[in-house]
Amino acid sequence: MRDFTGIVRRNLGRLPLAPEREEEIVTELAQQLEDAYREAMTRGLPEARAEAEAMTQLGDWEKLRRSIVTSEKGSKVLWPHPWAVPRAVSWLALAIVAMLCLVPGFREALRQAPSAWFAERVGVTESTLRELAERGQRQHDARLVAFAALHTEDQAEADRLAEQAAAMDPSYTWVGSRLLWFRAAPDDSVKWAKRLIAWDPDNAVPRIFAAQPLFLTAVAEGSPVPKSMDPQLARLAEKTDWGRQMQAAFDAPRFDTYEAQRFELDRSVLRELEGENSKSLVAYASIFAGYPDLLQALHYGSLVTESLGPEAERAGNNDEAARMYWSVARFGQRLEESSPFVWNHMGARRLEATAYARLAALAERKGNTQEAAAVALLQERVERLNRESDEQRQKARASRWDSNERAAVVACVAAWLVMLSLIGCGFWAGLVAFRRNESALGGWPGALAMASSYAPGLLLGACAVLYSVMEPFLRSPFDFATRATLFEEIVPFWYAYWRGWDTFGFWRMHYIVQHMLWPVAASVIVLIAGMTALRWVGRTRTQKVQVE
Amino acid sequence: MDDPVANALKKGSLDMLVLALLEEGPRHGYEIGKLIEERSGRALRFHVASLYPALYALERKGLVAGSWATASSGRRRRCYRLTRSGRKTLAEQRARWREFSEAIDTIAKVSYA
Repeated sequence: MRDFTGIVRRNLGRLPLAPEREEEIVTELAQQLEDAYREAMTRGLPEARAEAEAMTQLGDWEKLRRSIVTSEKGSKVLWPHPWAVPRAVSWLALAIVAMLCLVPGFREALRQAPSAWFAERVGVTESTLRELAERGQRQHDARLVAFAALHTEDQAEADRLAEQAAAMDPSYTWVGSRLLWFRAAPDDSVKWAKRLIAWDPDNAVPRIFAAQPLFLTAVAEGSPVPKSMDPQLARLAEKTDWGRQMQAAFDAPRFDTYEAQRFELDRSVLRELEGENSKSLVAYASIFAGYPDLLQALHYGSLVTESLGPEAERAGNNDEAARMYWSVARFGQRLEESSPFVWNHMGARRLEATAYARLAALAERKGNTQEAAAVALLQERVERLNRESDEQRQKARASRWDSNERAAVVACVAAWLVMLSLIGCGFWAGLVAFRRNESALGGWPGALAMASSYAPGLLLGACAVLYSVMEPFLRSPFDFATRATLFEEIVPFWYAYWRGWDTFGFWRMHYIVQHMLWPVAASVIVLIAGMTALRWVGRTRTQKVQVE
Repeated sequence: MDDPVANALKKGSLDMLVLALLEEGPRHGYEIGKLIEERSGRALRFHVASLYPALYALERKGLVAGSWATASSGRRRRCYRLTRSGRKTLAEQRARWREFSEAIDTIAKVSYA
């Protein structure tokens, strides 16, 4: 005869009861099997069949175990709950997450997760930047001080470090352009704009920044509609330094936002800090710093082509008028060539087209038909480019910006799920560690315990989604030849991702509905189908057990 | 018995059946299971996973009391007997069952040929 006590003990496992009571139950159930076995033998069945028949007395050991514990404890909320994920599965999920942590890209994706939670960039830390600045000062390395000046969040510190870098090596004076920020307080911008005008007089950008405070005052006082602003801007140009600064910007031979220098400096220091495989996102920071608000340039161009130029023509100064129109057209060309932003190209071409139209008309009046035809061709070219560019812009937005932003929304959701599931995992691990010997957790702790058992699985899923969505955008600054290509390819993703929770703001709901409606609808259908199937399986199983 | 209604009725009546059998005298778990099967003409058969948890729940509620006894064969068996509280509960359950079955009979016009 088989050892029925051993069989029961083995299959039932440890019961969360007093040892004496557990022993009583095991003995009693073993006797049930033994009685069934003896009876089968009495009926003349061979031993093996008698044993098999006895064993049919007990079908689902787990169900029996739960029923016994429920009866003994008088609680229906068991721990682990019947619907809870088995502990082995949860541990396996956590083990897979731990193994994923061995992949550098996954670690970097996790490092970026808090950006979505707190809507902050994660790059080189402020303490690292401080250390770099100190090292730069000790070693008299202006490059390190300039890098710290470019990336520190503290404006006053950036100003101080930029001053230091420029003092150590005047070729780093351009770093002050980081303080040229069209939303910055005018004083901050003007100080560095003046420094840069003196250091780099051929560049239009610092001159536009120098003119900016005067323009902003005019905009604040007047209407934002360009046409109605012309008289106001004419007065502004006449009575203040604004017109002179803007004309100097339009006449300047270069339009340089020091993109190339910033990109090279970032790469040089990152190479030293983290090697060529650096995935640090610091190079994408402050993407709009150093870019002037071109609204005032467009307004000045409009003032020249609509008011100042025609006035000069009426006064008979055709050469002066032509010079003005050409300055607008060439400024447009320089802006188009140097800016990575499509919207700047559009504005630049609009300036060019208006200036060419005036130049063509002026040449026509002077009887210079050849020049008129040549300028008209230029006008036709920029207008055609703008039309095409508009279409391309729409397509590019659809194919790049939108897909980048869509990916950022998914990554943000995944990052939030990572955080929530981490909290759930902590709760679950705490329960497993401290309530291991409990059989029942009543009320809300029981429900939370059941829910938290899903946390490790959720964590694994969220990590997998976060990594797979973010991976194409976790690229080294060394993968790109210029900062413009870097901007085009991955910055829209990070810009949306860094906005964090704001990415889901109400203003974006239309976008989410527009682009995520069908994936959400499909997920809901799959969810309903899955739940219906589970319910059906559960009902079928219950009926089978009852028949037994 | 594949009918869910019959299954529910069967499950709901297990406590009363166990108490009724113990009213006749102390019995052990295997004996209770066999008696239910035999006396119901094999219409009712309870799985171990239902019977023993039901016994433990009744014991926890104080309706039955379990104790170990040595049988004539020398084997130690855990026998259950009805307690005073169990006897009172059985009477209440019988009355409720009678009331319930009469109500069902009247509405469903069940006749016993």
